[in-house]
Parts: sequence; structure tokens; C-alpha cells
Amino acid sequence: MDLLLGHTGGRLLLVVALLAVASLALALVRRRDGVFRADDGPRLTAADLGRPLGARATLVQFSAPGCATCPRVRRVLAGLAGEQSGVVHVELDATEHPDLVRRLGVLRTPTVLVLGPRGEVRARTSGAVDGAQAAGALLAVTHG
Amino acid sequence: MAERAGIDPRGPRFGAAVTAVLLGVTVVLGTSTAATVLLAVAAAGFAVGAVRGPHRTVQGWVYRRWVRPRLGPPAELEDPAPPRFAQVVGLVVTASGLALSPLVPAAVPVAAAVALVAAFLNAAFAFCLGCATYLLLQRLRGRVSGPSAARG
Repeated sequence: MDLLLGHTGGRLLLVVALLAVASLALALVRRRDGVFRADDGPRLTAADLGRPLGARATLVQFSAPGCATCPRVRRVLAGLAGEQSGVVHVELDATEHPDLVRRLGVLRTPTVLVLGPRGEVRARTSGAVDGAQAAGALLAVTHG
Repeated sequence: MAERAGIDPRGPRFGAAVTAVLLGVTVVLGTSTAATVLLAVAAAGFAVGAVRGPHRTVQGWVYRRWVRPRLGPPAELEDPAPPRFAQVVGLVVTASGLALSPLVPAAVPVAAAVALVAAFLNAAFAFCLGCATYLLLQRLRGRVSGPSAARG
């Protein structure tokens, strides 16, 4: 340990290694961004969301104040909901819904859930979501 | 959530790049006096960002004065609250290192390394580690102050 930390060169090496590991860890997290996974989580009601459910599907987005990717994901999902009848986009501030966040195990923002017509959680993802990913997940729920 | 008046998100990223270089040098300097001085400079920078907002730091001023005019307008604006919170996290980490340094000299490079990872991820990949902990800390706080908590 002293061999590594006792010298300037060793510490420089350590800094480089630390940044490489951090980059790798972030890359692994981001690889799963926007990839929807099937989920049979709890059922959410209109009362939980504070808004009526969509007749065919509901896109629930958990955001947080100042989350950089949240506005982009909001535009994607709101656009999708606007195009398709019976599909509703609901955006919730995670910091204002601690009970829902705990119940659903939301760890990051944005986290997106796709609910079926009865409010059952059918699929979920976190991180940046693009239009194709969201449309695919929605199709699987409305036609699956 | 309504779109609020925001700041150019590239400003805090530029600031993070400057801070990352400063903290990287701090780690390399180890437990020397120079390292403690540099960590104090970084802590002072975080303190300014925490109190006045990430866009009103020295780096923020340099960004607006010299960097921003060379770039196009930002694609979107960002809420200054999370990057500001991240500055608070940075301040807590670096100030803890300074406070512990008389007892544990290694606290200086360790604190600098922790803050370095956060600043580097922000500058290189626009990933705000401090912002990500915002939600986690909020959850923790909710648990502690919630009715189900037996003890604080």
C-alpha cells in the first residue's frame, strides 16, 4: 500500500485507475437506460396517481427537481400519449411522493412505469428513454 | 412539474472540469501541506456554489465570460437546484476531509478522491452524482422523520 500511496507516481496511477473504474461503473448503469423490463408489480389506482388512469395504458414518470434527463423523457412520453387514444402520461415528483417511491422501489429519476388498463405495473425502466423504446414498451402492453 | 427558469447546464459541467483538475492534483500531492491548501480552495469553491448557486461561482464567471461566447446557445436549460445541492455534497465531503486532517492525514487525499470521482463524472459524462443522491437522501430523510421510524 505504501508503495502505491507513498509516491507521487503511485498516487497518479491510483487517480487514473479510480477514474477508469468510475467511468466503467457509469457505463454499466447507462447501458440499461431506457431498456424496459417486464414487471408484474403492484396495481396503482387513480387515487395513488392523483389522476385518472388511461383506458389502455398509463405512462407513469417519476421525476425530481433538477433531474437533467427528466424534461427530455417528459417530452417523449407526453408526445406518445398525445398521439394515442386511451394512453395517459402522468409525471410525479418523486420527492413529493415518498410512499409511492418506497412501494415501487424507485431509486433513480427518471423511472418510467407502464401500467395496463387496470393500473397494474407491466413494465419499467430508468434513465434516458427515447421514442422508439417507449413506443415499443407501450405496444407490448396495449397489444400483449 | 412545470419548466422553470433555468441555467445553462454546460456551466456547471465546465466548473466541474476545473474542480476535477484541482482535486486530481490534490490527490497526487498526498498528505502534503500543498494538498491541504488545494483541498481548502476546492472547499471554498463548493461553499460559494452552495450559497450563491453553481452559476455564480468563479468557474461560472469564467464560463460566462470566456467559454459561453464561443459556444452556441444551450439546447435546454436546467433547474439550478440539483447542481446546487451537489455543491453542498461537495462542500460536506471536502470540509470533512479538512476537519479530519489534523487527526488522520490521509483524510485529505481520500476526501479529494471522493469529490474527484463526482466532479469527473459530471464533467466527462454530464452525470451528476450529487443530484442522484438528492432522491436517496430525500428517501432517507422521509424514513427518519416518517411515522414508521422508531428512532431517529
